[in-house]
Amino acid sequence: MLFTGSQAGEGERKTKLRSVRWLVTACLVAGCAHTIPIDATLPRPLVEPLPVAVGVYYGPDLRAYEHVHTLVGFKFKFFVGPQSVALFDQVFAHMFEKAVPVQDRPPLPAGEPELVAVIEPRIENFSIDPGRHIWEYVTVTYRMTLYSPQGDQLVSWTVEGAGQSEYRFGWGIGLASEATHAAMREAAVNLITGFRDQPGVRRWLQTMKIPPNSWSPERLGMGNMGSEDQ
Amino acid sequence: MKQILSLVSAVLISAVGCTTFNLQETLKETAVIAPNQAITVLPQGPSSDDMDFAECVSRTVQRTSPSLRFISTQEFRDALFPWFEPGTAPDTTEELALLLNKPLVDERIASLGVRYVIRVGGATIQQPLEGPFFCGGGYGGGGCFGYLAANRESHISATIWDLEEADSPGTVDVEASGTIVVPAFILPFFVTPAMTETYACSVMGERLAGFISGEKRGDDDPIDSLPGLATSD
Repeated sequence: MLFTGSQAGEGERKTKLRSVRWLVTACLVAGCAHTIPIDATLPRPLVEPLPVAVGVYYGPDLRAYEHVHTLVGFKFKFFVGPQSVALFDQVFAHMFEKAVPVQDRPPLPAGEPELVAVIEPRIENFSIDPGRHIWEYVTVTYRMTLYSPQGDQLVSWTVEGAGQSEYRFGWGIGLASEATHAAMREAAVNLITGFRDQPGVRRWLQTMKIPPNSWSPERLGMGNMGSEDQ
Repeated sequence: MKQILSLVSAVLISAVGCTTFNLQETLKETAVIAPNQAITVLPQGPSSDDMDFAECVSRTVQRTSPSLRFISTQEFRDALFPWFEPGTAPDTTEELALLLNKPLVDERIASLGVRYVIRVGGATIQQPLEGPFFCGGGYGGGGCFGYLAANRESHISATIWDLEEADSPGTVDVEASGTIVVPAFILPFFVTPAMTETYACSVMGERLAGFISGEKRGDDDPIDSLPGLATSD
């Protein structure tokens, strides 16, 4: 069959349209997965770092954590774990004079640098509440555990962050992205401002003769920080 | 027909004319701000109402006093992270003073040149629509007659902090109330909105701009530059 230029263009358009239809149908049937971009970037926190060197342990569960939200046949993936690692890297770098990654939970092997403790964040919960539109509220709960270099658990507590998308209209993935960023940012805020007010952390700091140096222990941070387990 | 239109217009005008506002403030002094100093507006809390009102008031102040140097909420929060987030911003002047005692915070505020922080919050409450309103019909046709009305109230509060003095010069509260009307003659015409949020925001923005630019307001001075407003302060 011989096509003229315009006929060829028309044929190409129809083929493309057919492909898109097939893709959409296949997505609906098979459940296409869309990745929600998460921005874990934080501003530089205005805090005096604690004058200690700590180890930071990210377990495989945290590193691989992902949340899948299904909506009318579509799957939306939130790679919360890798972005949480990026978030805590920034937070710990400013909370402590030195924060170095360690490969395992304590006890630390011989030859490790001089560390006074190891801190491990884990994701305890990540949830989405549709609210008035489909991506309105996101909540993330981290469990923080502080170990001595010998492997004793010094303190364990939870830090929560809740985020809300500010857009009023639309239902794009930007809303989910925005709410997730806000939730992670709030969790970071609660960790930074409430860390020294955790009773177990205070006791730990006292053993090293470091004053807690908090500015509003009654209110700040504690609102979204669960009580410690030990 | 002209008579009906006149009647409807009269209802609409009287409904809009019913919008009133009340302004109360505890501001004792006028602001003292140098040309290189800035102000910023923060929402009181994380609710969408607070965010909307803060944004609206901020826009109005900027429009009323274009020469004022403004720092956006996000820029301010990022620069002072994590101390002015929705959950950590100080609530009292004691907490503010405590926070400003932190050298890092004090230095950053000085480098930004922010003199005043205005925290804005608010809410709108609307009563259910009620009134004499009848609809009926038959084979020959049908229609609705009467009107529905509901009261609507918006309240905005603003707390001003002077970061140089680590103190609060005072607060401003604005309450605007109005009536929503749905008149009907055969067909429901349309809703005459009582835009109490806009009125309250305009009054608040204008008053704050006046305060920042050094305007002193006497107890009996009404803010009357908004057309169609009836003051009741």
